[in-house]
Amino acid sequence: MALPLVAGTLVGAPDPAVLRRDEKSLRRARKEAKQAIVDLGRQKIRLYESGFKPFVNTFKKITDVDRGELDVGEAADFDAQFICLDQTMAGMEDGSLQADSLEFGVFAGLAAYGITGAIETAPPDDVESGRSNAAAGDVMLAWIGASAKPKALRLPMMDFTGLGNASASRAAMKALEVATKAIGRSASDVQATLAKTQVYLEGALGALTSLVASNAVYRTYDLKQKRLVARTATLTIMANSVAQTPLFDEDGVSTEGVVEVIEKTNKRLLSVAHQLILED
Amino acid sequence: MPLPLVPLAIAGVVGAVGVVAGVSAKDDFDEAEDTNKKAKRILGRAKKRLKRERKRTRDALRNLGRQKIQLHENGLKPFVDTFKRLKNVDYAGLGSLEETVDFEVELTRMEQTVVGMEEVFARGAEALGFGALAGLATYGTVGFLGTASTGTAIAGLSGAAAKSATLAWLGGGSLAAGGLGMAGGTAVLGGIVAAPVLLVGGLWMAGKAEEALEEAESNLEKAKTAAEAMKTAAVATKAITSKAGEVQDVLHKLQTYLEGALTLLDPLVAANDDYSTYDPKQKGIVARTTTLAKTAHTVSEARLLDDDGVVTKEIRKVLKEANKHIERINAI
Repeated sequence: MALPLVAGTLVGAPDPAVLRRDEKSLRRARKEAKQAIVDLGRQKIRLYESGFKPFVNTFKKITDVDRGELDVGEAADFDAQFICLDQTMAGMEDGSLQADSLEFGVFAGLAAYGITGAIETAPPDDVESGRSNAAAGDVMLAWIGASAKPKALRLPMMDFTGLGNASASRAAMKALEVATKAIGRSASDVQATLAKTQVYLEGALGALTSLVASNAVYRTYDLKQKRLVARTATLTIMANSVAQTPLFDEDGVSTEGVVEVIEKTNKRLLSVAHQLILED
Repeated sequence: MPLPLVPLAIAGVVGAVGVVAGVSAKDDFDEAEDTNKKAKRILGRAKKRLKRERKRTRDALRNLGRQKIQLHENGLKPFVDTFKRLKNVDYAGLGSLEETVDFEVELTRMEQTVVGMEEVFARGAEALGFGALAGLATYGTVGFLGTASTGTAIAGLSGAAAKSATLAWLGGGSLAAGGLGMAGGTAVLGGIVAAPVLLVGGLWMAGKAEEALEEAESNLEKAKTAAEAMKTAAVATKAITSKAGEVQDVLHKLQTYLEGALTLLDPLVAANDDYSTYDPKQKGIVARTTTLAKTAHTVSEARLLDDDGVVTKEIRKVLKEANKHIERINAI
């Protein structure tokens, strides 16, 4: 009679092979999410370096800007957003965020909280010290960024070491895998949207920089030149609002705000694209 | 002078000479040891730097290969599919709108690329290894498929990459050992990165101090020469990384604009596929989308490296043209 075996099978004694497969799948999801988060963090740094910073510097040189005339679409509070951008820049001055020297923690902070959020959560003198800043304060990010590969996955919020409760462990692992994949997807979507926005922004900035170098007095601009100023400002504000939207909430769940902001931005990018194709 | 003391004095002198010689031998061994350490340090540092650059270049080529795949999927293929539905296209009219000629020829080439890319995808785009991605990055689709042998073409290093000494080296092949497509030592990178073997140790056992010192000095010279060669290789590798990044960036920009333009062209063609009935604005949409697709295709198909692993003049030229095109778009 093999009762213990029967009981083991029915009650859910662990099948080591299945558990190993689940763990492997979870590790892969974590690795991919980690890469997506690092890519997003890098993208935000690029956006800051090649988009926000040159825009603020160039826009400050333009004199006599008629704010009422400056058509930046839905971004009616342009002045407030410009001040916010300026402050973000001040927080990132002195080359404190050099992409080559950063560790996962900083990228994760930038990816998850936006530039301002990452700067605020990091101790002032410790912005480059990887895990010691923003990411370390977030259970999900800390877990995704962990370099160790323990045999049994231990999380502050979940414990998979209880072999007597294998089915519960499997369910928990699956739930975590789904959450991790959702974060990875969100990060990739935001990164792709920012990359696309950056293409249009950099293009517009190139033209705006040349314009301002030859003439910085806004009121003397013709309609086409004024539209260029408006387009560049709109793209900057759009990019900033995507970059500042938190990727997930405190429980590690992807926020609805991300989906909304991505949809909205992509629609507006299309109208910018159409403007470029249709206008002579 | 007491005679018996003479031998003692001689013995003393001989002893002193022996001691001096012993001290000198020890000094030589110490110096040899220091020199060998220095040689190893120089060589180690150079190897590490080159390894780092090589990894960066691999990543850059891999990313460029992926970018080309994305351009195909989201830009060129949808464009060809849409454009083929258009009837009564006046190619000369297209050319005069955007100062470009030979649209018809270019479109045929684009179709060949799309068909070629489909062949790559048929074997599983997700599973492409470094060799295939680097092949796409370096040769473009048609060039890559042309150089790759059939059957195993797409699988890792056995494809096009193995036919290039530079790509084989970047992919991890040991050219020094004569493996993986070493093309007669002519490759800029492959020919100069073989690390010398430093001879250390044997003479210590034999107590040959002077020879040990000579050997260490020879090691140091070899290490310095190899480090210089590796430095040159690192610079050449860095140049590939930089150019691959530039190409990727330009392709990404063109793809973004092309995707935007396609969202205008698609509904236009869906509503009316007779080009001859289009008004100037609609013809403008066709012309600008076609020009974007053509520019993106030209950049994507231009060869990045020549047989010696040097960045080609062709890619520099097409990048310059593409950047001008992008500037023109943004000047609107």
